[in-house]
Amino acid sequence: MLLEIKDLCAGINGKEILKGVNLQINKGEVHAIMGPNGTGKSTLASIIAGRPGYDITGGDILLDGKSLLGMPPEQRAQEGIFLGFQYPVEIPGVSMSSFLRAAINETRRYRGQLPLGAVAFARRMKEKEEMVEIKAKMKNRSVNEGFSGGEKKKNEIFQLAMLEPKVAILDETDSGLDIDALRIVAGGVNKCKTEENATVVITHYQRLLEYIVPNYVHILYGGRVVKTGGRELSLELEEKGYDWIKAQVEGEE
Amino acid sequence: MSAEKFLASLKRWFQPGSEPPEMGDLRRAALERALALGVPTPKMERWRQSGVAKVFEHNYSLPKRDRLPMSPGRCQLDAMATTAMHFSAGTIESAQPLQRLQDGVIAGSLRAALKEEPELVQRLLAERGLDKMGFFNAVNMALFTDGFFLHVPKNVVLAQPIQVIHVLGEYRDALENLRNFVVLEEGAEATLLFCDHSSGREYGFASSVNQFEIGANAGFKLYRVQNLSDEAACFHQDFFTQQENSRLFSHTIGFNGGLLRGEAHVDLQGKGADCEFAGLSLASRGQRMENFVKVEHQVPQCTSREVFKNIVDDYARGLFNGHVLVHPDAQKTAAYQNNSNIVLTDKAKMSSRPFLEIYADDVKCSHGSSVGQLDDEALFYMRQRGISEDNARLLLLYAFAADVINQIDIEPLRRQLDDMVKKRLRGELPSCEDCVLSCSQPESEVL
Repeated sequence: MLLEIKDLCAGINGKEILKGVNLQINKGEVHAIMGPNGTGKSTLASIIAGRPGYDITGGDILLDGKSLLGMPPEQRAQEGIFLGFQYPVEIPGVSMSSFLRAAINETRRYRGQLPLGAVAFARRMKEKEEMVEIKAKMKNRSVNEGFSGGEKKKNEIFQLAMLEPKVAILDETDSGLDIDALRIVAGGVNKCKTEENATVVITHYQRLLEYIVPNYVHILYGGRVVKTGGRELSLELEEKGYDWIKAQVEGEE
Repeated sequence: MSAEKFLASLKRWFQPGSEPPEMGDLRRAALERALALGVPTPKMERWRQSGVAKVFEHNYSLPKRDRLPMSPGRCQLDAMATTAMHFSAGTIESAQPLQRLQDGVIAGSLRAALKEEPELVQRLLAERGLDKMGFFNAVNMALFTDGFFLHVPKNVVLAQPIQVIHVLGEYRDALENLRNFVVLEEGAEATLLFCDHSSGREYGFASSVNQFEIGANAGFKLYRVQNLSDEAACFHQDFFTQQENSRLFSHTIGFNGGLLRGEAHVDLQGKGADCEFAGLSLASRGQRMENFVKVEHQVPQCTSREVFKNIVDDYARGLFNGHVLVHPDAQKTAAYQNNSNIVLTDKAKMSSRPFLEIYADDVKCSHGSSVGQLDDEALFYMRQRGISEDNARLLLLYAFAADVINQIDIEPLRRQLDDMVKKRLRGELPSCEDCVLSCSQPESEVL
């Protein structure tokens, strides 16, 4: 198993948000996490990536059998976790190329590899640009600065291609995209898929899943995964909304 | 040592020496003025929040006039073809005569200039009038040993920047007073680089008063690099007067120093004059870095811009005190003042006091000030990509500093200082080893 989340309980400022989340993700799989607003989808993504500020009150997150919980965010990234941000951050003054080179080379150092030189870096960039069909806005431009919403999301996917993580968690990567941008972003994600990695897509809408076809769909509600199914589950949600899930869960309780 | 003792010592230190009698009179009058004024206190507007009191705690000795200048080491800025002049122990006189450069340009030791061009220099020295002098200015007039003198005649463009290196003496409790004069006549242009450095780890205090007269249509650029030991105190007072359509660009980077205080007093006297200030202070440990800027718009259609940035780490303190005064006649003034700061720890402190005082009604003036920490969201974003926290902070700090560095328009200097800023942010720039500028390897990456 590549990524295993076991009975994960977590909260922020004393408020419990995740109340025992369980997920098992294998190599080569695509998982979609869906659910109504405020049920902890983004919190789950943040906690896997190690965003500071959350209290983990129980459970564990294992990547290749190794617990991530004690690791700082950079180490989790170096181990192979990538988070596509719902709101990618603008970093004025830090150029895309120095940012990405630092990211790649620190990760390489962590893995005992030699750093990429300028030429190899440029070659890798060109390769990945062609692969995901997203042109990186690199030359002397600051990270995400002045990018439109669509450009920021495309930039996330380009970074995903450059960094080649084991698990890519894409937090509402479809939000704010028009249909053309959505197609490009989804195409990029699909190109990054291999038999060795896994993709976790967090979304509200079935639309993205027409392009990134999941093996499993999980519904997160009330801080738990309340239902897991195949792709058909997302179609069912599209048709019926979330109310039947809420009713079902509350009925059980 | 206390303020009283400092005042008492002034009389003892006062030795006019072998100067023209008018000079001796001027110095004596300045001494009286200093004694009458007494030492500045933090209650005075100009000195609020300043760490200046520290300089009165020491029992100073003055530089020996016969002491030979030491060599500050090779400066790699030779690559930019500057004319370098080294001051040490307060004087360059014995080492370098007054130089007659191209087209009647005179450059070199102020003391030499006093001998060779007594009328011109004495007129300049007396010009500003004792009644306006503050305490340190008067002390400086009474005690200054030497300084840099530059006179650029009408319509002459100085072919190369001149670098003036001042090295604070390596003996303990050095008190060095320097007075620098730059006169650009109408249409003249010049670029200067002032480097301040200290040669030892002993406490010392360098005080300089700098008078810059910028004639009509003249253009002056002043770069200043300060890298002194944590024990050193260094106080500059720059007085600029600008005539019609003249242009001034002043750029300062404070790398290290126990107390670095820079004051700029700008008098915009001629219509259409323009001045621009850029400053970057990198304070850590117990360092204090202070910038005080007062721009007086006396006449219409002048412009002034100030951007000062501070990064304050550990338990260091930063201070920005900016005052733009727009007189009633100064219609169509455009003034911009900005001070942004990053304070990295709970114990570091930054005081920012931008201030506009406007008596004209048709003006465009704005000011802004910010004091903040590094952006947590940006830090997390970078760390999520695998960049360590230290390096993410470094990238953000460098980004904050970079636009000040990029304002340097002498490319070799920009590269050198860019590298020094990167080193300083990594904690690798020694404050006191060999020459300040010999420790640079341009083109290195920030990480």
